[in-house]
Amino acid sequence: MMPDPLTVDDLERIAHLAGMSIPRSDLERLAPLLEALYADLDRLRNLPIADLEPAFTPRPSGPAEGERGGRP
Amino acid sequence: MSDLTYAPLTDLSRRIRTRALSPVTLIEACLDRIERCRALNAFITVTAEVARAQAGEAEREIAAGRYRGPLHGIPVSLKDLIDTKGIRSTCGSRILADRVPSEDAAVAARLHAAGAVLLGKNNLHEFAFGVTTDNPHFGPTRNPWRLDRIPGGSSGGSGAAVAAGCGPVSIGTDTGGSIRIPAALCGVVGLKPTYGRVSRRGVFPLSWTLDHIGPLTRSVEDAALVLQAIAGPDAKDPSTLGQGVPDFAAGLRKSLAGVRIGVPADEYHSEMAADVRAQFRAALEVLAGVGLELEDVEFPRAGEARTAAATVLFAEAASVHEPWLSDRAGEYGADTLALLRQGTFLTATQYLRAQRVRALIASEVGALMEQVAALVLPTIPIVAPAIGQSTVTVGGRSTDARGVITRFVRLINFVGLPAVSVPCGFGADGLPVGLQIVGRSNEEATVLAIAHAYEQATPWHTRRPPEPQAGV
Repeated sequence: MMPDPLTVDDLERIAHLAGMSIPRSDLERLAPLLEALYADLDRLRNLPIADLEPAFTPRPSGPAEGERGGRP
Repeated sequence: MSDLTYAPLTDLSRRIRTRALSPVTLIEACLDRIERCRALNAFITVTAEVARAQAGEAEREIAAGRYRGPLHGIPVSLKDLIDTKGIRSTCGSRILADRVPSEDAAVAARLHAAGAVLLGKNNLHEFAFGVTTDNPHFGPTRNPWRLDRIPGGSSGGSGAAVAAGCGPVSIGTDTGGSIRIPAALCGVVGLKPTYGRVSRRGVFPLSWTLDHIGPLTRSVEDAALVLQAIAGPDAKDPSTLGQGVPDFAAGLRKSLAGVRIGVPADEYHSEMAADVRAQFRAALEVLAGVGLELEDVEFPRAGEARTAAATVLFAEAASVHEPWLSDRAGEYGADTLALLRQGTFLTATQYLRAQRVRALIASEVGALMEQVAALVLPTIPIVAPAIGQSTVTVGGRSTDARGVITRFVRLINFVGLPAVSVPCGFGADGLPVGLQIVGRSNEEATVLAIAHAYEQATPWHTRRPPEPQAGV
C-alpha cells in the first residue's frame, strides 16, 4: 500500500512535537526532499535484512598480515 | 618561492634529523607562505607564536640528541574541528566561534608527542557538513589551481593549504569523502584510514559511525609517515581498540606483480565527465604497467548503499546538533541547517533499517574484497566546480553538485574500508583529477603501496598550482 503523500502540515506537527519551530517556507523546501528519501528508504525493506542486526560501526575484521597485536 | 615550500616531508625530516635544516627556519618559511597565500582563506587561525615556540623547542631537543622521529620539527595544520588545548576550535561555525578547548584531541596529542609543530587551524565546511568549504561565517576557501573554484570539502582548507605549499601536512576528517574530495580537487594525496584506525576523541563529530581521521599530504610516503604517528588504540575511543599497527611505509616499494585489482565497472562508469574518464582510463593503463591485474567487478547494491549511508549521516548529525537545532537554528548557514533538519524527520526504525542494510552491504563488500586486494576508481567524476555552483552537468544531465561529488566516496565510509586519493592528471581548465584506491579492512599498507607505485610512475604529484598574485 502506498503511504499518503507527506504534507507540510505533517512536518509542522512533527516539528512541534519535537520542540522545534521551523518556518513554513523552510518546511515547504524540505518536504520534497524528505518524500524522496522516505521513498528510497521504503525500497530498502525489499533487501534481505530480516535476519540481520544493525551494523552501527564497520568493525575491522582483525589484524592484517604483518601487523602486531590483534583483538583481545 | 622557497625550496622548503614544496619539499617532501621525507626530505625535510632527513634534513632536520641531520641538523642541516632548523625547524625554526622551516616554520618561518611556512608562515611566510601562508601570508602570501591569504587569498586562499585556507586557515581560520594561524598559530604563529605557538609554532615558533614549538619549533624552537624541537631545535633544542634535536641539538641535545633527543630526536623523536620523522615528524620532529615538521609543520602540520589541523582542520578546525580538531580540539587544540588553549587554541580556539570553531568547527567553522558561529555557534562555536569562540570555543577554546581545555584538552588536545587524541590526534593532536599524538602529533605533539611526535614533535610536530602546529601551524594553525584550517577552514572547513561548517561543522564538516558539506563538500564545498564555502563557509558562511569565515568565508570560502579557494582552490589554488583556480581561485574561482571550490577546493572541495569538508576539509577544504586542508587541501588548499597543502596544495599551495603552506606546510607539508594537514589532518582532515572524512565522513562522506571529506579528505579524499579536497585531495582530488586540489591535486594532493588524501588518506582515509580504516574506521577505528585513528582515535576520534576530541574531534567534533558529524556522524559517529561514519567519521574517519587522516592526513592530506603531497606524497604517498608522507601520508604513510603521518598515519604511523596518529594510528593506534585509544582507551577513550572504543572503535580503536584491538587493532595492531603495522609499519605503513615498509611495503611501499614491494612488487605488485600479479596483485588483483577490481575496477567497479558498471555504475561507477556512468555519469562521469569525459575529461575525468580519460584520465582514469590512462591511470588504469599505468596500473597495469606496474604489474597489477585489473578485472571488472561490481560494487554491491551501490544505490541502496547511498540511501542507507545518507540516512545514517542525516540521523546521527541531527542527533549531535539536537540541542542547538531548537534554539540556535538562526546561527547555522542555510545549507547546513537544511541538511540537519532532514535528519530530525527520520524515525528510529528508518535509521535502524539503514544500519541493517549496512550489515548486509558490509558482508557483501567483504566477500568482494576476498577476490581482489583493492578497488580502483575515480575519486570524483568531475573537476572542481565554481564557488557557489549548486548544479553540474555530467553526461548531458544537470544534477546536484553535492550528490555527484560524493558519488564515489561516500560508500567507502559506509563500509569503513581504507582509501586514498592520489593526483591523476588534469582535466578541464587545467584542474586536478584524483584516483581513488580502496583496500581491505586494516590493509592501508597495500593501499599505500599501490598508490605509491602509481605516483612514482606518473608526474602528477610534482605539478604545482600557479603562484599567488600579489594583492589578490
